[in-house]
Amino acid sequence: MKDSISLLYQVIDMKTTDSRDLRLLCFFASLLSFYVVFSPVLVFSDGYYVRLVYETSKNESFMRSEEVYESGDVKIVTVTAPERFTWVKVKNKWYIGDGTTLYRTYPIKDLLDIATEYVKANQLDISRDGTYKFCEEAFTLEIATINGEIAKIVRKVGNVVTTMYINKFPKQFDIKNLLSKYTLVDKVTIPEEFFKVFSLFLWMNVTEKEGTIKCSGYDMEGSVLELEINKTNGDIKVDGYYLKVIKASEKTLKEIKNALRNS
Amino acid sequence: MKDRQTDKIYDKAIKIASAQMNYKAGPLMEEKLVKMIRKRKIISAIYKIGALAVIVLAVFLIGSEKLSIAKVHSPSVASETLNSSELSVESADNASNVQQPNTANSSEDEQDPFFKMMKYVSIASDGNWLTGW
Repeated sequence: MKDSISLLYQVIDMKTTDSRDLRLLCFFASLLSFYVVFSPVLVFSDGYYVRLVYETSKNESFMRSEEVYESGDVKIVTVTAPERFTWVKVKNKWYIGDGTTLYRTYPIKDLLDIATEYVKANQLDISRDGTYKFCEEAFTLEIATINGEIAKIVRKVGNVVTTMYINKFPKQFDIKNLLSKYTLVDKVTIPEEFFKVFSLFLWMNVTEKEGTIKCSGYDMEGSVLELEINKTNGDIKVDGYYLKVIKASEKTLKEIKNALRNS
Repeated sequence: MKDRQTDKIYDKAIKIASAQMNYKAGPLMEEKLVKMIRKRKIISAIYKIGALAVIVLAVFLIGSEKLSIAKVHSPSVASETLNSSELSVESADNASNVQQPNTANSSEDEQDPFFKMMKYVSIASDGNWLTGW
């Protein structure tokens, strides 16, 4: 009889153990599903990245490599090629320079900012791994995601194709400590009127030759827009600089004139 | 006295067992119980192995993500990575051939701070997209 009792208790005890195991299994399974579901969101926001940007048009090609530290509303980008300099974004202010002193500048947006803004603005779902292509009148945007993160972005504006490869690496860093290495100067060196003019470009490239900088690109409607800025002569004088419109659509030309009305 | 207590425990156990596995007294019950125990043992082992596999999988996934020891890639992803590494090697090889318009003809020492900033911003920025979509 004792044997029977012990056998019975063993069975009952095993049943209890099984349910405990089952609960444990469920706990770990839910923990794993939580990680799988939410990890891309958590990983997406902050981190350390190395990025490569290739830009090609009919006549020329361009390459940029950079290191990015991002945490909260602070972003520190060190461009290593074609020239070495740093730009920083703190909340809604941008600073740039080639030393430890960085000067306030107008908003800088890289292809990742553009892509994420586009996705958010259009409430698009790119959470599944794959390649997504979005076509607009003035441009096309292609976003490839791997492990829930954007790994590659391709944008085409006119005949300019910009491709960004994003590689995220695990790295421990203190963003405040990194930021403390730089002195941020709030004084704006670019005339405000130029801010308004540059905001008319959808995409812009700058070349410098004999004291003249040439800004060539496309306006918001995808039409060609070319400007020249120098210190000696031009159509409109702005704070010691002259601006000359080389090529612009009628609409954009009006907008440029409106932006520089007080000059 | 002890027998009474044992009987009570036995009755209780019988009640629990009858409720949980349709226990009915009989000569083959012990054999049935042994079979039941074996079955339970196998199920328990499966659960334990399953739990262990889940833990190992979780550790592997988290570990590889954080330490980037190994990442599970699909063939298309692998080819994507390969292409990007090929491109970077190619670009390094052809670095001298790649035209860098922003650096052309620049006299760095006597550069106007505005021009310099324009050049840097042009390199860093991929477009000015301040207006709505």
